[in-house]
Amino acid sequence: MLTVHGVGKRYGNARVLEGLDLEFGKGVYGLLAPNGAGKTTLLKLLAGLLPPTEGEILYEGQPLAVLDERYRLILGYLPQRFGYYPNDTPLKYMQYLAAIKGMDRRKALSRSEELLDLVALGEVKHKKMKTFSGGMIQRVGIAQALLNDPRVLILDEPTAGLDPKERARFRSLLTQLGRQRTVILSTHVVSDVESAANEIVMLQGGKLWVKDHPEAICKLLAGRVYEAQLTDTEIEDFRTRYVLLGERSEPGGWKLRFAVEDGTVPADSWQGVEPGLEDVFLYVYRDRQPGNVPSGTIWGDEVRL
Amino acid sequence: MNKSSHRLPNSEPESNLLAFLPPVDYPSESEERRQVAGILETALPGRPSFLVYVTEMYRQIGFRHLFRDLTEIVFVLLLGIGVWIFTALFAMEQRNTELAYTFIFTVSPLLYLVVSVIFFAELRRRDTYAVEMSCRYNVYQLASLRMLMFAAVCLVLNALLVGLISAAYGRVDMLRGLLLSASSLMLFAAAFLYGMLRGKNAAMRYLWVVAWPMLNLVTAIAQPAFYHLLLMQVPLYVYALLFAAGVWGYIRQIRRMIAIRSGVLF
Ligand SMILES: Nc1ncnc2c1ncn2[C@@H]1O[C@H](COP(=O)(O)OP(=O)(O)OP(=O)(O)O)[C@@H](O)[C@H]1O
Ligand SMILES: [Mg+2]
Repeated sequence: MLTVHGVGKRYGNARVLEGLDLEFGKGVYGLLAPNGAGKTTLLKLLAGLLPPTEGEILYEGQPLAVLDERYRLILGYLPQRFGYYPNDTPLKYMQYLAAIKGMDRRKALSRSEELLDLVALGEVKHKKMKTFSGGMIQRVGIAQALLNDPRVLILDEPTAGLDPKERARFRSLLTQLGRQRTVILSTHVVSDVESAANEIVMLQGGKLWVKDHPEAICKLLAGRVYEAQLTDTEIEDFRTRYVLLGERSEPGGWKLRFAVEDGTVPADSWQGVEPGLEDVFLYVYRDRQPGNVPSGTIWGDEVRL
Repeated sequence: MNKSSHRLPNSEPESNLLAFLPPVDYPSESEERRQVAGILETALPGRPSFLVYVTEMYRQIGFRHLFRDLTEIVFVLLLGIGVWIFTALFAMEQRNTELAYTFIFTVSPLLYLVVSVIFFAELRRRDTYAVEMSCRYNVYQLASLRMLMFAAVCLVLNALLVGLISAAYGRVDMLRGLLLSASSLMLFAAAFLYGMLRGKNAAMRYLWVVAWPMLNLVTAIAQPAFYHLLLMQVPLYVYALLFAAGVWGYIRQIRRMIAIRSGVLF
């Protein structure tokens, strides 16, 4: 169990995170927030790579700062920018990382090979990594994070650069990993976590906005998402009045997906639809007019949009 | 196990991808709690003594991984030795014994200096820093082990070079040369690491690198009698003491580096 207690983080005078209280048990947790919201910062804190400016993070009741090397024994971490030695083969790099993770040498080799097979790089394990594509590098990154069979797995945008097939493979890997481990990953690709994550954590203005099951979060927008077929002139009007969630061209005009304020009476031509996580994301993190009070706020335990 | 069985056919995304991950059995919640507690509490019983810790780290990481940039290091060392010998020849040309000692004293840290400076400059610029910091032996623990071995290797190389000089140039006393070289290296190295770990900015960190030759030069010019005394008249045990002090200071710095917690310098 990973526990975050009143954690805040400042870089100099810039406050990035504040007053975070979180608990992570077994399962997959998706950290969802826009660019610059502090996802990487939070994951670095959870990995014990950055000290928080306030509060503390505990693993099984002991502060990470105290556990230190012992925490790293059970940690797997994929940074947002996964660095590598261009002249290394993935197999050599994995063995190197296994060595500095303190793994047994013979086990390291078989383990590295198995993991490279797992991310479908078995065939190129003897090729130098400088010849690899971005997605292949990323898969090496995912594989190395699993080397020591970590109990806490922290992945910073693991799906960046993966093609749809690899994404699908990764999602099913996630589901399996989450059964026995704590897996925390950040992403802004909603579909990566919508089905695979047990809980979604969303940040707003450096604070926790919501931490809940994906379906529960989707329910926050229930009854407020519609689709409608519109002409070009109507679209402009909609843009200013509602929150646009998507648009696609259809024969005879545009199909618009949008969310409305609570209590808005829908027009007859509107078609109510089930909100998805992506709708919530777009709604919560929409560009707000200046002076507009952020509508994602926590009142007590109740989250409102 | 059949390798291809790990590969996930597109059609069955739910196949057991992790079948090959046997090392941890998850028998029950309470059993697992006990196991985790085991890892957290007994994997590293207390803080083992420095020597035990370092030896164990070396045993686990192994030479090949610890010096993954061996080619560069050897190249730099050879370059350093080349410069060393070249200037040594020049110093001996002068037929001046004092100059030979001055040379030994001033130039002995050179090899250590070049490998270390290059290593430190690279350290935090590397892309791999973040991944390596998350491993059991993080960048600073690896660095401390490397610095320890750099110092040892440089001591040996210096000794060989001093032996060479003393053989080629009869008037240099072998033992004095060795002690001079060793004490100057260790004092320099201790101060260098101190600067590296304590310096607030690059200028302060590398100050000592410039200060050392300057200090020697200024002393030699401003206080030639004192410098002469220092290099040629002082009884040998004083050098031995200086050497011991250098080693002590160096180990102290190494231990501080080992204790750097991840994140502090992130
Ligand atoms: N080392 C640092 N020094 C100063 N400011 C930083 C540092 N790292 C991050 N920040 C700032 O903290 C904020 C959060 O950054 P962070 O990288 O955690 O965001 P993120 O959610 O991961 O963004 P992205 O989706 O682009 O990866 C940003 O405003 C960034 O400018
Ligand atoms: Mg980020």
